[in-house]
Amino acid sequence: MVWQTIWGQIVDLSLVAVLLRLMTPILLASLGGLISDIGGVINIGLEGLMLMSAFTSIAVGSSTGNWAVGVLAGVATSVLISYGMGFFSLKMKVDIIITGFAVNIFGSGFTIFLMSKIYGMTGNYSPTGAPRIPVVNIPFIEDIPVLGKLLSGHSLMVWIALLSVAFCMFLIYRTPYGVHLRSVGEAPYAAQSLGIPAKRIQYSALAWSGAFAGLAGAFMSNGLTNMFVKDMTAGTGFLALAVVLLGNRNPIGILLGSLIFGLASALATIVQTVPNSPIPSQFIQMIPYVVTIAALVFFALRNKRRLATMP
Amino acid sequence: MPILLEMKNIHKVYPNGTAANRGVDLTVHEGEIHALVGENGAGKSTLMKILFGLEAPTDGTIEYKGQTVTFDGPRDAIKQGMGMVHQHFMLAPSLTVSENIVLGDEPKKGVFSMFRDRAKEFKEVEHLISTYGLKVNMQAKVESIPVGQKQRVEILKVLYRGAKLIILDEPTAVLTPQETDELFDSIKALVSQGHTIIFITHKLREVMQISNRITVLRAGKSIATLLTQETNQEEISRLMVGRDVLFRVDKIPAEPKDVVLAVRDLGALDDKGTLALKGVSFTIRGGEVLGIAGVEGNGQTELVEVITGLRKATTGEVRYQDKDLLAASVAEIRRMKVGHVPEDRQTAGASLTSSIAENLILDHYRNPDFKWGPFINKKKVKQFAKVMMDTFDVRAQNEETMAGALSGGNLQKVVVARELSKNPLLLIASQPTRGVDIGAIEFIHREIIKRRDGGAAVMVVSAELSEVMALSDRIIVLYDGEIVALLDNTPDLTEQEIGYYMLGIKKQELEATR
Repeated sequence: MVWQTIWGQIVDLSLVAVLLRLMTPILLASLGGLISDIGGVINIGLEGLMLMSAFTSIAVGSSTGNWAVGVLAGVATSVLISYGMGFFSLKMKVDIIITGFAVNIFGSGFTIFLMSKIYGMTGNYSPTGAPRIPVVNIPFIEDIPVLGKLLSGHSLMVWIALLSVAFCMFLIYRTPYGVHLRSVGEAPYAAQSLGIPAKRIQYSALAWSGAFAGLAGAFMSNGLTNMFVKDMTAGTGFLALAVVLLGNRNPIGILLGSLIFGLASALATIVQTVPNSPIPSQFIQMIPYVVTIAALVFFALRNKRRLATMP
Repeated sequence: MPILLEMKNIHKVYPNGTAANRGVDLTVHEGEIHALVGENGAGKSTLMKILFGLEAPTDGTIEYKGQTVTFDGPRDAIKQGMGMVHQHFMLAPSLTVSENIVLGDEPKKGVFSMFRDRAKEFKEVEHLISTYGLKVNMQAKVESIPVGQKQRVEILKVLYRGAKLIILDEPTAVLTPQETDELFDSIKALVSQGHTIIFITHKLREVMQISNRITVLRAGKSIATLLTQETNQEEISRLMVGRDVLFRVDKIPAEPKDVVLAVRDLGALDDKGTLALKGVSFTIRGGEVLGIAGVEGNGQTELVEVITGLRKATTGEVRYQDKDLLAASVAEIRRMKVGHVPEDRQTAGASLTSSIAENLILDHYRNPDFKWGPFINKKKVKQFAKVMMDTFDVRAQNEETMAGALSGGNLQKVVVARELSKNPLLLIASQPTRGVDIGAIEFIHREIIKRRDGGAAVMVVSAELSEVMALSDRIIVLYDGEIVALLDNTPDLTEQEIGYYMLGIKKQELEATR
């Protein structure tokens, strides 16, 4: 029964659609984590940033009736908080890990606080008629049997996430800024001795991570669902950090890593919809997290082997 | 030759009252190689920081190309055509050679110069490499190239920025003899193309070999400026230290006693899992010093680690008196009166965030003398530390000073003091004087010989051939994990002779046991 359902979804390609949708927040957040990591200021606070953005996005989106304004507001909030992280960690010298944790705790608590103060809700806030991030239907292609299902009918944010991979490739490897970013993250004194403004670059790295986490969060409330649920990110920000490592700290690797997690989440979602499933749903919901652990163990083993065979 | 740089009467007093420079004059002529020598803490680094605009002088003037200048930071100094090659490389390991060279000044193209112009980058770097003959693969990642090439990248970096005056801060500290020779060739090539070099070092042999003129700093003052051809090592070291320094370690002939350490057919893997020791056999008797010579990375580190219990052996045996060291733990070995001065005092020799006193009792703290029930008896530790600091001439405010705040020489004295304070029967000294100034070298060498004369068996491992030759009674040469020579250190043994073995050009036929 379970296998039949999964097979059916693979055959009619709806698995691909689910996969892409679920991959998008992880991919975006990981790209943010990547840029901060490369700049030597790894942003542990992705989770909190996503929550803040998710809440802001749906709140502003539903009150203005415009999804774009909502998403922009979410991203702006996230970027602003990232700058705040920079202030605490780069200027006041608080350890970046601690700042990140603070943001996570703050993001979770403050969104619940605002939800109850503004909307009088404690668990979730689902405004009626809130605008969603639109779905892109490509004319002509949507009518082609297989290709149509593969390429058409995805949320705009899915495309933004995929384009972001290319954007990050360019930013990191093809621009002077990217080289400066890498040098600041790896050898800050070397960079400074050549007159590269290390602090400013690290601020910008945090801002980038905020922007990507903001997009990811906005998509969760304004695209994936149409509501804000407390702690709705459910560890996506931490999965994203795992993906950064798993993807070998480069955008293509991160795309592949996100696909794996997207697949795990998609399978979990599909299996959950099967009626009378013999597997308890708690086990199914574990899948993405088990995959995280397995993937990190695999990654560690591979690194160890590579170290051993180095000339 | 016209004067390029003149620093006059430079003073630098830090806010905490430390006077790092107390009247330094430095005059550098165009096209010369000017050596700046002095012990650690003599004020060399401060002077260069002032020249580079990293520190503002309290007093004094700098004239460059005939004009008085003040630099606000390295950017200014670089713009004026100065370049500094730091002792610790300032390179980003995962970037390529060419990316490192142009870092911060990348050729750009496109709208708003947003993109890197890699074609132009490669062309310019290629041009630099061929102009100066500093051969290095510009597409390789810096992490994958050897130390000597990393230094070339550093030199190319300053050349790319148009440096005319190049400051090399202890450039040979990390190089093998071969790489040093190559560096000197490059320096000569740079001078012949019109560059001027300031060469900071405390290795006098190199000063004599490469420089034209020498300025000596001592205790923050410039003591003298000499023409290299009119002076000698003895005179320079006297000026540096302020007294006569013995280059030859005074020692009476060894009187070897019973065998203390017997190593047989020892094999071990390195960190990457390749065979680093391939069946090494030797013995050391009480009352003799066995020197281990060899280019670094030929198994010396692994050998020391196996004997001291830090690394597992794959084959062979190590007998110490009548005990099997391979079966003993590090703690057990340490309790058997085995002293070990590790090659890296920063990571293995001392705890930098602990005080001098704590470092001195690091492996004696279980000794009942230092204890009071289950607690450490602070008073006794303090007394002990004071005595040790006196005996070993450790210069610090008091025994509570953090080890990390000590200069290399003083820290090494702390490590040596700890290892010698338990009267070892076997002393293993790995790079005992690396990065240590002349006065301290002399002291440490004397202490090592004192232990030998007291009947201890001593093994000295050093990358400095002169050190091995000064201390040892017998010398073995390691090449590629094997002993290729066992030599008696007679007066007619030359460095060249050992050098042939070190490079693997010559090899003795050795019986397995000796």
